[in-house]
Amino acid sequence: MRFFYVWSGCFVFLIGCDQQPPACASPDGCGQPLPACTDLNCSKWPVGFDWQTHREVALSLAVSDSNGGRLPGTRVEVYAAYDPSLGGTQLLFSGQTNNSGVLELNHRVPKSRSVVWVKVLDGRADPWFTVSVAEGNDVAVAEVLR
Amino acid sequence: MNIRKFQVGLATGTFVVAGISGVAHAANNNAYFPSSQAFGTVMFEDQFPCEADYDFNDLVLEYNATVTTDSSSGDIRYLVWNTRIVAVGGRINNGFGVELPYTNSQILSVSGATWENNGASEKVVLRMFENAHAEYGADGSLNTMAERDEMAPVERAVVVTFNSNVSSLGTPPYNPFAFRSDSRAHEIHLAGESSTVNGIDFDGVCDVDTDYKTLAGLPFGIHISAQFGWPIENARLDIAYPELVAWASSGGLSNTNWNDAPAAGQTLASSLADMCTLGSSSYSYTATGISVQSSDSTAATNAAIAAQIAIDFAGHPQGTPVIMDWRDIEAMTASELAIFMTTSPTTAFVTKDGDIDLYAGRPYFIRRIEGYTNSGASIHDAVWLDLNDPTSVSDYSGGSVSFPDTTGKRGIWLGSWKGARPALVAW
Repeated sequence: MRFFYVWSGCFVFLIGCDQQPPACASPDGCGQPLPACTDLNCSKWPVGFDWQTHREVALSLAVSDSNGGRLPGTRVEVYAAYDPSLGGTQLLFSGQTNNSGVLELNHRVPKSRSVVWVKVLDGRADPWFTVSVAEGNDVAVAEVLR
Repeated sequence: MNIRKFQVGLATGTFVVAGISGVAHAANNNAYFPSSQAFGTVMFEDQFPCEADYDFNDLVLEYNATVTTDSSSGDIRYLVWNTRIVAVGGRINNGFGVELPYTNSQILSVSGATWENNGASEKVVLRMFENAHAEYGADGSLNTMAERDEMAPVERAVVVTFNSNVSSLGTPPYNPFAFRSDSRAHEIHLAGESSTVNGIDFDGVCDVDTDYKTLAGLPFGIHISAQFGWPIENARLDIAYPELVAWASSGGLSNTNWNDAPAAGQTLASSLADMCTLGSSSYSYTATGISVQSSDSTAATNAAIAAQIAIDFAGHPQGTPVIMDWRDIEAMTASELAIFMTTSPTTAFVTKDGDIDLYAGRPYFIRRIEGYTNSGASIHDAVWLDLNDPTSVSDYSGGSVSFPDTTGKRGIWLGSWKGARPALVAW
């Protein structure tokens, strides 16, 4: 009987709280709502929160002709934003595709940013393209057809 | 004869340097952090390892970095890092450094910073300045009190040149840190980062848990990839930026623009930093030479050009290029400058295009070049100084400036525009 009480006590203890680690470093650990908090002294944040406003993305951009052939040495600029009256703003990169017609770029973007703007400087019309760098797309692969 | 073209000043300008033999390089790619004309901000709490007032203004720096890679191989060629100290709160003397994600064996040279080379396989650690107060030449709280006069930012330009076959890693600002001026090992890093090989571990000391966070998970350093108004003295960051708590509590998912919404009267920003604003510029390097296009040649542009030249002319018969800040040049007397700039103080090294004899035998130093046309038909304003006569300053408003040969030439001055600080490359 004593054996039963001991084991049943352990069982109650185990199921009493969510067995998953708490999503937040909350002191109660059991998901109870915390009082509204507006300063750093009482607020809580996810375990491992990195305090970063930006994240790294790896951009791989291939520039190809209409036949699918890659275009090495094509001048490319990448901007954080685009304004119709100003063109690209916040230049992140300027350079050219490599011998395989691909541009590889590591950069930082705000966590809230979903696209970067790519300008292909090959003298043709419609040089602007967008590439998705949304959250979860930290390795952005795109192809531009010229 | 190779012709190397520098375009300094307006985008249409041409600054011709002729007769310098060199090796053709592949084109470069440039990545700008946070972007070509913007600065990011790094700020620290210096009571570490103990919590303090959380105003994060004890050391506030802005940075702009350019990573140049070979467009074909993707290998990194150099890193140009411009830092400016914009605020120093409190009385503790702090320095600033950056750990790069490269090993010392991958670096060819560093200028503008102290390179802590702790062995070939260790990561590169650069100390950009030792004591922020000393850089300002003042003590106490600097630029953290609205009622006090603003002090102009203190700038540093650092150029790191890499050995061949080094893949580009990570992104600036890499692993920036503050350190106590009187205790180098006492480092303060951003949350989640590690101390350098020359730092000591404070895990478990005072309020520190691990990885430069408090037991509650608070950081001792903040990085924002934009210019950022730092809190005034004793204004906690969450008071200065009311949306900070909501942002952090959501794990960074909500209120993502918290740093754009300061509370009224709780932050300061540098108005004097405007004078240092980076200009739009680009440059390329081809088999026919360096082409620099800049609408606003500034410290960053000049440092980038200087780095390019350092690579290109490494091993040049005239010796290894020396990169100097303009302020150091200005501090020289005319005779010191003449000796520095010329193999002989009586040898001309700068002349008018096609009119070399006019100034032959006299060393001239171009002090300012503000614009050219591609045809070389006009120069908006070039001022040069006869080094033999420091009172002789002339304006020049026609033609282009060229170096017809390398005889006696020891320097190329890289021009500035609107008061930004240039760099100097000299042999």
